[in-house]
Amino acid sequence: MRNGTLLKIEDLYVNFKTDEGIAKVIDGVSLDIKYGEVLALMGETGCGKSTVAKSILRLLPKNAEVRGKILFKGTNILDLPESELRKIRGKEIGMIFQDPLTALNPVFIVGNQISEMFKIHKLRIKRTILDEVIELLKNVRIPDPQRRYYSYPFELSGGMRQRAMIAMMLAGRPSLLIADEPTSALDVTIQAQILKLIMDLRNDYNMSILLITHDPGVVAEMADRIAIMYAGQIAEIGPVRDIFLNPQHPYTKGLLRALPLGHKEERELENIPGRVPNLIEPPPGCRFHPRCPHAIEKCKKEKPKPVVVSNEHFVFCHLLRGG
Amino acid sequence: MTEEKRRTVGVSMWKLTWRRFRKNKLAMTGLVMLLIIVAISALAPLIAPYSPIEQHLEDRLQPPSPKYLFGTDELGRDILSRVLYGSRIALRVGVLVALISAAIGVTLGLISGYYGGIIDEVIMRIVDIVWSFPSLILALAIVSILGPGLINAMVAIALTMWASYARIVRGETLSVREELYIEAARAIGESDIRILFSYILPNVMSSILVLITYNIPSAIIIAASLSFLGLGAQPPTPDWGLMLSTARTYLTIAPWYSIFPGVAIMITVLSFNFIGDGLRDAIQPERVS
Amino acid sequence: MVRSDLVVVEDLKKYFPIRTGLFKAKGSFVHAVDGVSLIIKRGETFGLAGESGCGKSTFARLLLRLIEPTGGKVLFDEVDIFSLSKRELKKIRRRMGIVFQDPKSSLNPRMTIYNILKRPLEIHGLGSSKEEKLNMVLEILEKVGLGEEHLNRYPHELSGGQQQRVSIARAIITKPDFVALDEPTSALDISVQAQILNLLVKLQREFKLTYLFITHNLMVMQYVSDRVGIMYLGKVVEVLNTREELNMGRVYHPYTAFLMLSTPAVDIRERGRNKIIVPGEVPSPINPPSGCRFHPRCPFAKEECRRKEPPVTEIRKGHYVACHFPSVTEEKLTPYVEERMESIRKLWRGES
Repeated sequence: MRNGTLLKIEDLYVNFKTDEGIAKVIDGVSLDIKYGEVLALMGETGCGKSTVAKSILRLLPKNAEVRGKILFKGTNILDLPESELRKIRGKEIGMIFQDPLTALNPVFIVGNQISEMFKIHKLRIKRTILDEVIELLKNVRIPDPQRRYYSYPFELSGGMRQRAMIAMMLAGRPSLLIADEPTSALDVTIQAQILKLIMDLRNDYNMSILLITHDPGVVAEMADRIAIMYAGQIAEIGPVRDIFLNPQHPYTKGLLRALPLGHKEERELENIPGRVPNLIEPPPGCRFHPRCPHAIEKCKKEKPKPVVVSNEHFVFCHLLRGG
Repeated sequence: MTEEKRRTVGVSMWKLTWRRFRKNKLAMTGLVMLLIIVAISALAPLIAPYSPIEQHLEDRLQPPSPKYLFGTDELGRDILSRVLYGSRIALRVGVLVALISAAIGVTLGLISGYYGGIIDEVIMRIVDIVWSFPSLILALAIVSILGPGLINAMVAIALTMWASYARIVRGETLSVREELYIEAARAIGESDIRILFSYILPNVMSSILVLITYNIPSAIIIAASLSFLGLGAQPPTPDWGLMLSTARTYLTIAPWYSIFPGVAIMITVLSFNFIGDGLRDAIQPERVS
Repeated sequence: MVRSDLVVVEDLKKYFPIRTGLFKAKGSFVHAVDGVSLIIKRGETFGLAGESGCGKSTFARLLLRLIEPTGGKVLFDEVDIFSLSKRELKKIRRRMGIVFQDPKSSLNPRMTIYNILKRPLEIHGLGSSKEEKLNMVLEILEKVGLGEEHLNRYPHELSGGQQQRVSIARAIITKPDFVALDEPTSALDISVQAQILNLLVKLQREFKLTYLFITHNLMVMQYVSDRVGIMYLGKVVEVLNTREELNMGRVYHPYTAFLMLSTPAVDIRERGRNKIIVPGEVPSPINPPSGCRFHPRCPFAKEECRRKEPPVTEIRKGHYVACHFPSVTEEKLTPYVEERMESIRKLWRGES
């Protein structure tokens, strides 16, 4: 495993032009993913976690305006011409989605869709393409791969489809796998299988993983580090242990205390009052301040800068400055 | 989706549709054209220079002139006045036929989609039969049974057109029926009739409206065709189709006679089609999201 | 004397025929609910947990007779609801409500919130005047944490959490005894889920409601229920008390144990420990396995499991298990589940 940074996002801003005005969906996000690391991007609906993932592969719709830098192995993806970008997509960086049924082409058999990856990216192969594909299907623990090669996506269960999607992404031996809610549509017993598979493959293939999820349980199982997002800003980032055991941002704390642990007779769940803000006119300063029980004047005016809590653990909150 | 949601806060669906419709230039052109046609038909007695049936036998088949702007026909009637009055008939035929066929088709479509089973099978097979004939041929057949005349023509056209409503409404009903709010309605004890008309109908209304705007011009054309064939409106009614039919005889010596009613039909049909396209586009994005 | 059993379910079955084209294919059925018997007690929250396709949603719809059963009985307050006429059924529906998973699809997009909430009152002839109805609607809105300003809004103008509050209000406005909650928080974010769970608990205490709470999320189940039934392929495999048994990890059916061990623990210190994963996938409910339905996935399955359907046995008072060899689970899996539950308890209590 190599040391150093594989992907570095610097000051990313994404605006969406809409009929009602400009939605400021990502507001200055910076983060990095190291070689071999699993970084989780966690937050609730509309926090911008998927937008960050899509900007890495430049998959955003036309009405999006992106500023900032996304450095992948040192090159800024946002500056690349389309032809160079295609070499990265699916080869250097793979992506899997929540619903593999919509990501797989329904009219082709799974085997052909995977072999297509070898052709598109002109990958070097040792054996025949068929053998390579069967090997990949074996690697993602699909039983009876010779037969499954000829299956159409609709003939597979949700778990098997997700495995096939992963196999497709592995063809190019990517150094980064973006997993956007990879198990949210699956049952828990299948989820456990897929999560284990992804972790095994990370070791076998030496991949870094960017995990997009809303589920703290999945993060706790998988991630090395975690970034908590709220309304397009990062609230807190750090090693997963530090954040779960020693959360600092009021939003992180609220989120963890809102988890239904224990029993209703023993405790009431924590409410985070209010609702997610409108991103066309987002609150100035820290975007969490209207819902924050501890907000001070400064929170309404200034965007918080990162405060070091401990090694690698940063929190974006004014309350912690100097305290 | 969240962006869309935020943008729509505080705006009703019809307002939202109107907002999108307004941005569509072609649709707005269609709407303006239609408003002008409606105004003409309402104000025909005031703006028409002559009575539409008043004969000026001394001025037969006159080309357009300051006295007769669109010229005159074989009985010396002012074509401009007849074209202006003709808009009344065209609109009445179009709107009435569309409403009658919608009433039949929507009811059958709702029943078919909601109850399914054998009722659905029967209704849909009838729809298939109606659909397998070209509208004009079927209308011709019905009119020849009922006898010629504008009212009979309208009935005949309505009987050929309800099938498309039935089919579309059935399809929409099938998907709306699966929505949880239908199940929730049953859980609070709503009756079937109530579910059909208060829950399903309002939710398929937008498609019905689009279909109506498309069907009005078709009805106008078929009515004109029937009149052209002598089975619709009878002389001396200032009907555009009837005018075209007579004008055909004088095509070489009085081409204006056919041009003006022809153009009138075209403009009316176009205006409805533009509106229909605009309405469809304005309604669609909301259902996708 | 008021009897403690509100809903009694006896050998309830629902098979859906599989239609192919115009004609029904003979003999092919989805065994969605296949012989379920259980009792829901007055005032409790009975949780029904299981993975997709296990039949739990079908079960809820049967209890309210939104669909007709293939066999079996449901007694609601001693009344056999499947024997009721249309009219009697409508009457009894005042006493039962339902809330669905998808808040957006649960509300008629063309009706205002006021009209949505007013309909149950009109149907059941509650509230004599317009004023009284309005007051009742306002009162229930306030109970679910909404207000007057929402009366004339349309569902799409509300957030997912607010929509779900409206659905809950619609279910309880007729002051029912029983509410079926079909994955009521599964489509919501964690913070909103917490608000809705708190609300449901509050309403239950205030109106003395009995809940059937259906979810695939075991964490939610452990928080909100008093007793739990675990479903697998149309059958209930285990019924137990939540606080004293489930949350302590005292489970005796291997499927329950696997389900609990598969759920990602939020406890970071648990990571990598006790990673026991159940292999395979849920078989098709069209041709469910013979004998015990879990046997193809069960690592402890013996010949008997393949041949004979396990009887339901009361392993302790009120704790029922449908397994031939619960002692195997007790030995091989239960200790891990107990350990895990222990660590989660420490987590929220703030102990380390």
